[in-house]
Amino acid sequence: LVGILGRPAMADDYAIGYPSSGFKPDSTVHQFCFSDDYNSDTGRDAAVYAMDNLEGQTTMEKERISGGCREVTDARWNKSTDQSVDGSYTCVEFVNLHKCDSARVRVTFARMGGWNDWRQTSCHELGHSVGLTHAVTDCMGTDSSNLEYSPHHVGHVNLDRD
Amino acid sequence: MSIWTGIELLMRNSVLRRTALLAITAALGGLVAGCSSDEQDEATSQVTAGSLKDYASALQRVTVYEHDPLDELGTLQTVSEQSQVVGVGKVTGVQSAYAVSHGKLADGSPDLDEHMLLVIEPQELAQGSELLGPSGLVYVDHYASPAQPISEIREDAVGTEDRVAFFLTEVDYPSEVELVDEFQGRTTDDPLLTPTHVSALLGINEADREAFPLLTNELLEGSDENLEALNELGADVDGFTTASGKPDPESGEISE
Repeated sequence: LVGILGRPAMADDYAIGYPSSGFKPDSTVHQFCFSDDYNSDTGRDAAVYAMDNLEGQTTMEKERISGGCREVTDARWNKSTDQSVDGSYTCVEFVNLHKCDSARVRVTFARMGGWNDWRQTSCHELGHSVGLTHAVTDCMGTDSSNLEYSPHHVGHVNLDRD
Repeated sequence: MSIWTGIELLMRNSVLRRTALLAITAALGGLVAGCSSDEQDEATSQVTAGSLKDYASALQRVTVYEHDPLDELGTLQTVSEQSQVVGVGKVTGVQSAYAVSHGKLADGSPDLDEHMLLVIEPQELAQGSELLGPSGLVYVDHYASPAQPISEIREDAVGTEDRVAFFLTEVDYPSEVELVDEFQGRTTDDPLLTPTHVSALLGINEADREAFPLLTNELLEGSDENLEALNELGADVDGFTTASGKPDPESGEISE
């Protein structure tokens, strides 16, 4: 599983939306849900792994929304059939210019080759939903053996709140 | 001034620009009287010189794709060979399109993932003319976001002097995917096309002599080969670069 890389940098972009970063979350509680078509057990397990990892590595807390997604849920996991990409992130509702209220995180089921692909892609797309950009040293890169966030990225999530 | 202040200013300027243009249009004969808001947007976009770089930065601001680097796949020449519709043209429209249904939300309303269409009038068509509808127009599908109204970014793409190079494949959804308003923004004869590679929809800016992906910020490291592939389409990009733009943190202006 190979994807596009951002150039490594001492100070990377954070939560500016362009290029390749997401936006800051609207609070320290990161809600997530699965759309009706997110019907892969492996995919759901990988998303839960990614949410657990986010909670474990950062000061963010996860909150699963059951009974269907809401328009304001922070991370809405959606199935994608776009065969040209592994996944994608779209902010669908802003709080302001640098905070996203709700985002779709899409994973292309057919491109996931195994458990590590699922987990790395889930960690990656979730990372955009908390403002992270592409990098080479953690799951914001493309190496499917990288399944966590780097200390640098953890610092962004924990410290760049406003 | 922070980047956010800069973007806010640009957004305000955009609104002011549109407002002023509408006022001038109305003063020249009340041409917009009785028009719908969509028609007013269309009228405005016809008299506004936009920039495909601004359009690209707007799209990339809300959507990030995870993809294989184009150059690792063999540059645009390889993508061309894998594509059904390839050419160079001018953008004539940006329109709302269908939505993919992901099921229902908790309140019972449909969970719809919106798409939009970039409408291109080909100037050079290297392949795929037989696939296009009677209009001869090319409809390129990509994600939309309700957080970024099309009316706010249309003017960046329509009316610009920038050209666009496209390497496209017909969209083929699996049967289990439910599409809502499948033909919104096009006729049933117009095929729905998507970039064969997400970086293979490129803006061509004559003034800055740059060719750059619209949907990604990929740098296209194999620039010579990629520019050669574009030249084979009649894009005339000798001496261009394939650098990707980035907003200045102070002004919000896009530069290399």
